[in-house]
This record gives sequence, C-alpha cells and structure tokens, in this order.
Amino acid sequence: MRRRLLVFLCFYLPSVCLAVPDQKQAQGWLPVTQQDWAIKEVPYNPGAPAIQLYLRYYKDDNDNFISVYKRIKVLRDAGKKYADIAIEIEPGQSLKQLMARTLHPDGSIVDFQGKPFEKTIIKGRGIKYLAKTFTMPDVTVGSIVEYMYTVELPRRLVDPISEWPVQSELFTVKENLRFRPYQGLVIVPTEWGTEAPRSRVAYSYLHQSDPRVPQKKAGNLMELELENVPAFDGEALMPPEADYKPVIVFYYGGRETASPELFWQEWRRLFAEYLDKFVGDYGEIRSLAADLTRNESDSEKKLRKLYVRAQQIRNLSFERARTAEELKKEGLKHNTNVREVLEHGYGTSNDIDRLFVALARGAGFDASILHVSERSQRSFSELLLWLGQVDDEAVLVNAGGKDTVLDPGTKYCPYGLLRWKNTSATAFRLSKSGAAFVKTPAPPSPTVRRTARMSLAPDGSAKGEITMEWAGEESLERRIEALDTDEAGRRKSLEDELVAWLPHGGTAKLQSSEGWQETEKPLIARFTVEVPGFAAVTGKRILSPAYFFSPFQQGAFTPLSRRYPIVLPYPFVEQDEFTLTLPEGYSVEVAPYRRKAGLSYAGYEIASSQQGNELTVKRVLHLDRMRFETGEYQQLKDFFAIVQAGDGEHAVLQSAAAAAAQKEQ
Amino acid sequence: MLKKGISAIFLLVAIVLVSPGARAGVPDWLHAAAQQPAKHYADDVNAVVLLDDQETTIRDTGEIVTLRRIAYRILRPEGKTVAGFGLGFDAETKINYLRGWSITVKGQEYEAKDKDAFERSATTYEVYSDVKERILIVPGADVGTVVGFEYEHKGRPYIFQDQWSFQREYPIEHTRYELRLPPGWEYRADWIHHSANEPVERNGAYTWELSDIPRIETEYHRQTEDALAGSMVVTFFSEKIKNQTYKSWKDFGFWYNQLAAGTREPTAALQQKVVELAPASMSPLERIKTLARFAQRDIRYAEIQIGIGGYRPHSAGDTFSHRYGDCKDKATMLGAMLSQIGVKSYSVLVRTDRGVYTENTPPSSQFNHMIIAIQLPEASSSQPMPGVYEHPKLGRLLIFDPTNDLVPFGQMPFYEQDNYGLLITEQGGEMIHLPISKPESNRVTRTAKLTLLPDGTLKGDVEEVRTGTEAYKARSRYSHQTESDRKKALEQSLGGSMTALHLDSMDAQNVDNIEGDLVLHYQFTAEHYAKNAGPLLLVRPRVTGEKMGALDSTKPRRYAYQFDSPALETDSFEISLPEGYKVDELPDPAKTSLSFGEYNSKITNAGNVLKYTREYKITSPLIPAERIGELNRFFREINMDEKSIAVLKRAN
Repeated sequence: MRRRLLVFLCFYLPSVCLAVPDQKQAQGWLPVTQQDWAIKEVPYNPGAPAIQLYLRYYKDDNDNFISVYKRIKVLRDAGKKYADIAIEIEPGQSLKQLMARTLHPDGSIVDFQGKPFEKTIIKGRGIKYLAKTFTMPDVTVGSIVEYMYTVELPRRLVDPISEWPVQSELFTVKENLRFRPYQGLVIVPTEWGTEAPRSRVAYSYLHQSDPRVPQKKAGNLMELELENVPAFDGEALMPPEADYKPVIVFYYGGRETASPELFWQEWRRLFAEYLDKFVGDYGEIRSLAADLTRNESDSEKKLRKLYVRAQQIRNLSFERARTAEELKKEGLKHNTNVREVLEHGYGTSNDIDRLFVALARGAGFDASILHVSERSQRSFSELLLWLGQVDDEAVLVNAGGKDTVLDPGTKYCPYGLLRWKNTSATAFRLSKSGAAFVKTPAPPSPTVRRTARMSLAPDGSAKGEITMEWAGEESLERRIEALDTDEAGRRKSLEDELVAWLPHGGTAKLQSSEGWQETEKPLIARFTVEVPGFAAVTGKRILSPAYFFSPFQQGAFTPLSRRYPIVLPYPFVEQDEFTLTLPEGYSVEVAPYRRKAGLSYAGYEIASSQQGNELTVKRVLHLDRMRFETGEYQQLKDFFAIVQAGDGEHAVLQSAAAAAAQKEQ
Repeated sequence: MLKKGISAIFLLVAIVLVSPGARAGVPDWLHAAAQQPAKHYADDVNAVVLLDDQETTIRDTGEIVTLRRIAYRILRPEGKTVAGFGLGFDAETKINYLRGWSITVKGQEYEAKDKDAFERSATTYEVYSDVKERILIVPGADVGTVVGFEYEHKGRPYIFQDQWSFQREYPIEHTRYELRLPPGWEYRADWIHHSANEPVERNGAYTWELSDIPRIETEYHRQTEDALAGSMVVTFFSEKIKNQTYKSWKDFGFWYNQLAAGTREPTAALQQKVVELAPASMSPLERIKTLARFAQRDIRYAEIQIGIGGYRPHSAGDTFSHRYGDCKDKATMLGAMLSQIGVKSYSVLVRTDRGVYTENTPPSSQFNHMIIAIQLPEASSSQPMPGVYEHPKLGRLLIFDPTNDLVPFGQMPFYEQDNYGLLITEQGGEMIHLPISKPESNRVTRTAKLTLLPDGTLKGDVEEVRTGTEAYKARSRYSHQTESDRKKALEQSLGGSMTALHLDSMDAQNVDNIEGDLVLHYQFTAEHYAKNAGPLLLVRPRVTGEKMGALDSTKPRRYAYQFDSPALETDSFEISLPEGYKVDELPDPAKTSLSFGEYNSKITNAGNVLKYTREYKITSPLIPAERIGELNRFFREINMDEKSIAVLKRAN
C-alpha cells in the first residue's frame, strides 16, 4: 500500500453524559429452548461443524465498554474448536466480567471457574496487544458453549470507526447488535480551527441482506436485531468478498458526515489544499517541463517525455522500508514539495506522481492527482465514509480534450497503463474543478505469446525450446515481483511457472530472459524443455497432444451454476504456436481437428498445418472482459468446454509400416 | 474488517521503522567476521553464517548459562530475513540480554538493543503456553550486509543437557562450542549425523570447532531437517544433580517417571466412570477399547503449557473432570483408567517427525508427543492389529494414540509407524522401534462402471473404499469440510484431469465412524473425455487417480525420499464402448517391481467393455538417496501408463 491516510484521531472533552441504564452489566444467561437442543444441522449447509445460536454485541463509547455474549452449539467434532476462546485486548483495554459455561442436553451445566490466561500477541516499545484465552470444560458434540464478557475501553479516547460483527464464520440464528456513541464532543480533524466545533456520528450499512435496519432507541442507542445470518460461503474467481459481506460501521466526524456528498467534498477540499502546496508552481519545474517538451508539438509525445523524466526519479516505495536512522545515515530526506523531489532525485510513488502533475501543468496541461481505490480488496462505495478506500495515487491529465490516467509513480509502469488493481476502479479527483469521482480506465488485454519447437521421439518423449513473451500487465506484475529477488530467483520463478503449464513430469531450464528493467517492451524468456511420456505410444501409432500447455481454466467451470460473478484481474490474449517435429518414419494419420468458438466478448481458435515432417498448431484464446455475471456463466462454461476440448486434441501419427498396411487394406 | 485497528503485522512494521535510534557500537568479533573474504556459494543460497560461537557455562548451582554470538552475511534479497532474530524463553528460562548489529556494504553500522526488541507468544495452536519469543530486528538488511546478534540465556533448571546444532538451512563457515564446567562436574558429548570430534581443553574449558558445514537442502519429500542435520548433544553429570540427569535411555525413563510421579492417581469420579463405561461383563479387549475410545473422542484436545507443564502431564483426575487435555494428559488419564481394570500401560514419548530418533540417537529430550503402550491380555492374541508391538518381556503392547481421534483402535497414525519411541516402564526408559503396517492395511480400492458415448462423453459411477492410513488422510480432510466443501474439492480434483466435468452426486460414508472403511461414491459426466480423430476415438483408460509423486529429476538427490506409509491402491475401471466402435489398439501392460514397491496395469477388451486394472503398492516408505534412480524409473513408468491411450475405431 503506497499511502496510508490517518482517518482521524479522536479524543473527547469532558462533558455531561446522559443517564442510561447500566447496560454493561450482564443481563444473565438466556434460556435454552427445545428448538436449540433440536438443531442437528445448519440450514442449507449440512456437515457444518457448529452453529451460533445467539450473538449479542454491544459497544458503548459513552461508558467505554464492549459487551459480548455468544452461544454456540457444537454439531461435529470439528466444532469443538469453538470451545477454545481468545479475546483480543488492545492497548488500554481490560477484560472484565467474564462468565462461561457448557450446557448438555441432559440439563447438566458445567461452569468455567478458572481465570483466563494472558497470551502475548505482541509487546514492545510500550505497546502491548494481548489475548485472554481460556477453554471451556466438558465439551462434546451436542454441547452448547456460551460465554459473555465485557472489555473496558480506554477513557478519553474513542475509535473513529466502529464496526458491528454482522456476519461471522458460523451461521447465526439470532443476533443483537448495539452501539451507543459518545454523547459529548469528539475532536475531529475536519473541525480543527473552527469556531464552534461540532462532532456527530453517522453510519453506513452496505450489502444489506435483510430489510431490518439499525433503530435509534432511548439514550441514543443504536440497535439491530437479525435472524438466520448465514456464514459467508465464497467461490473461486469471485469479486472481493468485501463486496458482498454486510457491513455496518459508525463514524465520528464533523459536519461533513451529514451526507456522503459532503464528506467527500470536504475531504476533497482538504486534500486539494494540501496537494496544491506540495505541487506548487515552481519556476524550475516549469523551466524543466519547457526544456523537456521543446520542439515537440504533439501532446501525447510531450506527456511521454515528462513521464519518462518523472520515472527517472529513484522510487523509494519500491525499495525496502527504512528506519529513521537509516534514512538519516543514507541522507534520505522527506520531500515536502515537488521542487525537493526533483532536487533530491528520489521520492515515494506519490512524490513522483505529484512531480509529474507539476511537470504536466508546467507544460500547460490540465493535470490533477487522483486518489484511487483498489478493486483487488473491495469495490469503492461512496456511501462508506472511509478514506482508506482510496489509498493509492495516480494522475489524471487532459491532453487535447482527452482525459488520460497515468501512474509514473509505479516503477516499470508503462505510459498509459495502471496496475490492474487500480483499473476500472473509482478514483477521487483532487482538483478545484471537475467531478469529484472518476472511473479509471479498464485494463487493456495483455498478450502472452508462447512459441514451442519440439521434437518427438519414437518412445513418446519430447524435447525442444519454448519462448514466452509477456506484455502489458503480465510483464508489469512480473517485474514488480522480481524486485524482491535476484537473477536466481527470477530464473526459478519462471521455470516453476512453465513447469506448472507442462504435462506432468516435464522439466524446463531457462536459457535467457530479457526486459526486466524495461518499461515499454515485453518481457521475454527462452527455455529448453523435456517432457518424458509426452505422447502415448501404441503398437502402430503415436498419439501426441496437439497442444502443449495445460490451460489455467482447467477445473474452473465444473460447478453447474454460480452464486457470484466471475472476475479476472484483466482480460487477456493467448497466442500460441506449437511446432512438433515428427519422429523419423512416422506420418500424420489424423491431424487434430480445427476448433473455433466465439462470443461477443471471447474467441478461440486452434488449427494445425503440416509441412514436411513438421506439424504446426496455432492457437488463439482471448477474453475481452474481466467480469462475467452469473447469468453469463453457462455461456462461458460452454465456451470453455470447447476450449478444453480443443486444447485436449491429439494428433494421430502412424508408423510407415502401419501406413503401408493400411494402404494395402 | 474496516476498522484500521493495528494488526500485529502492522505493529511489527511500525516498531521496526521507528527503532532503533542509538549509536552503533559494533563489537570487534562482528567486524572481524565482516572482514572475512567472501566465499562462493550456489546462487540459491540466501545467506551464510560467518560465525556461530556458543559458550555454555555450568555454574556449581546447576544453572546453565549460554552466551552466543552469531554473524550472517546476506547473499540474496530472500536472505534479508536473517536481520530478524528470535529467541525463545518462558517462566523458567531467562534472556539476560539480546543485542544485534549490522554493517552494510557501504560501511554504515547499526545497533539494536534489548529495548528495541518485541515479544510474542511463540506458538498459536494451544490455549495457552508461556513460551514466548523475543525478536530483535536490526536495520540495514540489504544484500552484502553482515548482521550479528549476541545474547545470554539462562537455561531450564531441570534439563541438564545442551545441544550444539551446527547444521541448518544456511551454510556455516565457522562454528565453535565451548563448555565450562565447575569442579566435580563431568560431561558426555554425543554426536548426531556427524562423526565424533574431540575437544581442545584449555584453562578448564572444552572447545569444539567446525568449519564449512553445508546447509540442509530443500528437496521434495525429504525427512524433516532435524532428521538430517548434524548436532552434538552434551549431557552434564554431578553428584549434586544425581537422579536429575541421564546417561542412557533407561535413566531418561527414570527421570521422566520422577517428573510424572503421581499423575496417574485416579479420583473417585474417574473410577466411577470406568465402572460405568467398561463393566466387568465386557470382554477384556472390549473394556480396553471402550476406555481408549473415551480418551480419544470424549477428551477434547486442548493444550495449556506453563513451564514444566510442557513436560509433565496434568493429573488424570483433572483431565477427566475438565474433559480436555493435551497428548500427555490424555495418555496419562487413559493409563489411569486402564489400571482400574487391571490392565498395565506405559507412556511412550515420540517425535512425530519420523527419522529424528533412531536406535542410535543419544538420550535427549526432543520429543514432541506422548502416546501409550497398552499391555494386551493373553485372550486378545487372536486379534490381528497393525499397532501391536511384541515386547520380549512385556508381551503384546498395543501402541495407541489417544490424541489422534481419526485413527481407530488397533492402528497407529502413519507418522508414528516405523518411528522410534521411548517406552517408559518402572525399569526406566527403552527406545523401541514402533511397528509399521503392511500395504494391505492401507488400501484404496477404486472401482468404476462407466459408459462412453460416441461424442466422447464419459459418464458413470465410481466407488472408492479407503482403509488404514488412506482412510485417515481422507478423514482428516473430510472432517473439516461441509458436504458442499467436499463436493467442491472433489470437483476440483477430478476437473484437473477431465474436461467439462460435472459431478452428478457424491456421498461419503463412515466419515465419523472411524471403525468402518471410508467409502466414497460419486457419479460424474465428463464431456469430450474421449477425443474424436477421424474414424478413431481415443480414450484414456486410466480415468482418475494420479499416483506419480513429486520428484525433481534435474538435480542430484541428497536425501532419502519419504512416503507417508506403505500403501496398496487398486483400480478397476470398466468402460462400456459406444455402439459401432471396436478396439483397434490397446496400450501395452505396465509392470514394474522394485525394492520398495510395485506397479502393474493391464487393459483388456471383452465384448464391448474396456477393462483397465492396476495395482500400485508401496512396501517401504523410505527410499534411500542411492535408490532415487529406481524411484525416478518407477514414477516414469506410472506417468507413461497414466497417459496411455486406447484407440477405438468406428466400424464401417
């Protein structure tokens, strides 16, 4: 993560609290019903290890406590693990009022009478994170374990964001969620320096799966009761789980939390002010921009020159994190404006993006910084008043009336490309004019080219050479990953990648690779490979696979239906050419079938040709989109069934003797 | 979670980034190590240990104090992790100090002191353990940087033993072990995986030195590092600690007996439970089995380890009343229950990584698990059980692991088979070679009745029956999966070798009933399974089940290859051919018989049914490095057979 925003640190001033009944006190154990005892399986999920019969979660910022009550029924041996409890205690918190017990169907109850242990999660430099752990007595399949505790929160400090645990790893029959915010004044950054500071509390409810919403009760208490909340059950290749899990969060803030529009508008103003200072309007930057773009009239060419110059700055974000002492010894200083970035010759990713903005503006372009969300973890939601959603930076520049999003701050990132996680993502534009939110462009389809020249031996083994070529996102991600290793590591990584594609038993040796330090050119690797048992040998024939690589899609489309869309990081194009030299004395009896399939967003073709003793198979597979809704699944499944069938084709080779015999017949 | 609560990882980074601020005072020994000329290593060696110097001092009180200095040079980016050093301690041991330094290629020097360190629990699986780890990270970790650490550590008061582990994941250029004993104390040095060296004695100190120790290489299916690495175990003796130390395994047994004394004492509640569970009306073997099952299934595994509690079990009564305990608690409680019905049993200490202990291993406490040996009554001799050890004096001992709740009575988990365990009796300790099951005890029997359609679609029913280790391994997966998860996993597995696969049904039987065979039934349809080629239809008779193991044939093998256990897998697949097609060619049968296993397969055609049968048998789970060529041949043969194709031809 290139940049972390401190959302806001809050502490409250002394104020009068409203009188609210002491809800911290445990309300005692709830009765266990016959219905609870009768449960043997989780609805729609037979074989689940346990079920949560009840959850009560209550956070009170006014009286500074979190109170939790959980009741779990063990349905299988694997569910006994829920009898081991760990309660995380953050600095300044303390555990109070722990009660726990095990209940059996015969009515017997075994109370937990010990004291919890204190397990150190991490401790150092005055900070201590702990877990209070204990285990419940006499737990068997069919038991109900239940416990309640209160964690006392530090005074004079509240979390800026509080989240309700709506969905847990177990199916929950009933849950009661409560939150009471602090009733006094909370100091928040957006109200600093204002004459009459105000703080308020807002909440967001995303991915609502139940019509019930939090209700405001007496004493400013927010409460929600839910029933039958299933555990989350994901699927392979689905969008980020965070896009589907219900989320209810409460935030402290200033006037800006009155609505999402105000929130983003206010933060946009604050960030824009800060960035304006950082980017500034420096004569030396303007002069450099003019020098770089002199004699160039084409807007894009101008921008490319500025882009190259910005990327020449040493990018510290792609180096090891350094301590303050290291920075001092190495003479590395924090940049406070783009002039310093240029002067120092180094900077973070954000510094480099900002320098590029300054250069572009210096050359007369309309350029602004974007705070970009990452779609790899969650999709941006405007309703979620959380700045952590837009954690990365990029640049929006207008050239000749056309908006282009660029990211010179990402090492090796070619002009016009973004890392896939920032593509098709919502970005927050930081400028005084224009829309606050923009969508970053969709990722282009990177092409993977694979060329194999192999010789087949009469025993069915094959050996030869393979060249692989990766462009666009494919090469960018590999280059970034390679920063954490050396030549030997890159070699191993490439060889492992190829071997994973080869038929079982195949080996690969990297002969050369090029393009690791390039930005625009593809990454190319050449290998020698050997595959024993590549083809099956029968008495008079050799049955050789027509295609060399195991497709990544193998096994991805086995379920009959999907609950969630399929999402790939980016669309792709695979272009393969596989030439097989036949063993002496063999000829093609049956060539592999030509297969072709097409959809409006995908295409596939595999075809072979023969010249002398060489059989050449050419294959193209392209998927032009990266998201496929559940309604499109069957179509995609059918398409890949054809791809898999085509990729699994064989060439039937026959010996000269067999061919002669066949001819005689 | 949205909330930006500081995670442990984030905190770790934060701590590292703000520390340390003190001026570097790099010691001379580290400067000297850094000035050593660089040696050449393979390009995948991440770091090298330039110096590993350990001084162990025994004080007359019996206190053991270790001073250690270790210096690394980072050779690759992946070696930067050596700049973080972790050292374990608990309530009974103490780190007197821990410091670290680094010298970068540019000559910059850094220092990290005790105050810069952080601590965390060393393990996470148990409910509680007081074992913690103090971690110190030094700055400047780049390729070429030399990092060094020095610490002083006070050892556990009741273990009068030390270990010099001089072989690990990185090569070691020079290592030294110095021992200082007070007058009247003696030592014994035992070497493991290395020839014995004599020390140099000077000023009352004994010094051993070694140079250029190669690293332990990473290889597929090799034994654990401790089963291969060189080390020296040093045991101390003195009149002052008589009966608290051990010269032999027998002594070790006495030592353990003292430690665990009284823990098998029954309580009234436990006695009552035994009467209730195993009345005298049952046969002796049934009574044993019932009690064993109670300890195995009704006592939940939960570990609470505090100081000596890592070695000494809780009392049987406590374990019984809580209904939870760790391995030694379960074994001890079962022992107490068995004694109530007049059956003798003995604790057995094991290391779950096979190969760490052998018949030659000197007495040392590297065990990580406890099981039990149950003396079987005479009447049970007719019952064949793979877990029975024939002891020359104690007779038939059933080796039983009450911690593993997926292995039935009479059998042993594969990781304990062919392993060594310390049997602890009233006569002390005795290292015994634990039994190994026969291939026939660990079976996978797969039968399939399938139909091939003219368009290449294959559909039909498969039944898989698993026993022994094979049932245990499948149960360990299934027991943590819902039915839906199991189906997904099977689809994923079959989908790897069949195109356009659809699982029509799936049913697993006896997942919880560990006494029964684990049976899996499923029905599937795979489109395009057979490939049309003109008038031909090409079909792979080996429909499912890949048996070729992972073995890197591009590099010479250094260590033995380890299978989990002996095994016998048989496949019998019948494929009804589509009407209008006849067999044109069938692959040759496969037949390989080697010292450690066999593989045979055959394809026949009867009427319109293609029948593929094969047998895969592993008789010996450990293949020595010198036989890796044979193993390679074995896997190659399997690979060829698994890919073989039958050619069907359309009748005119």
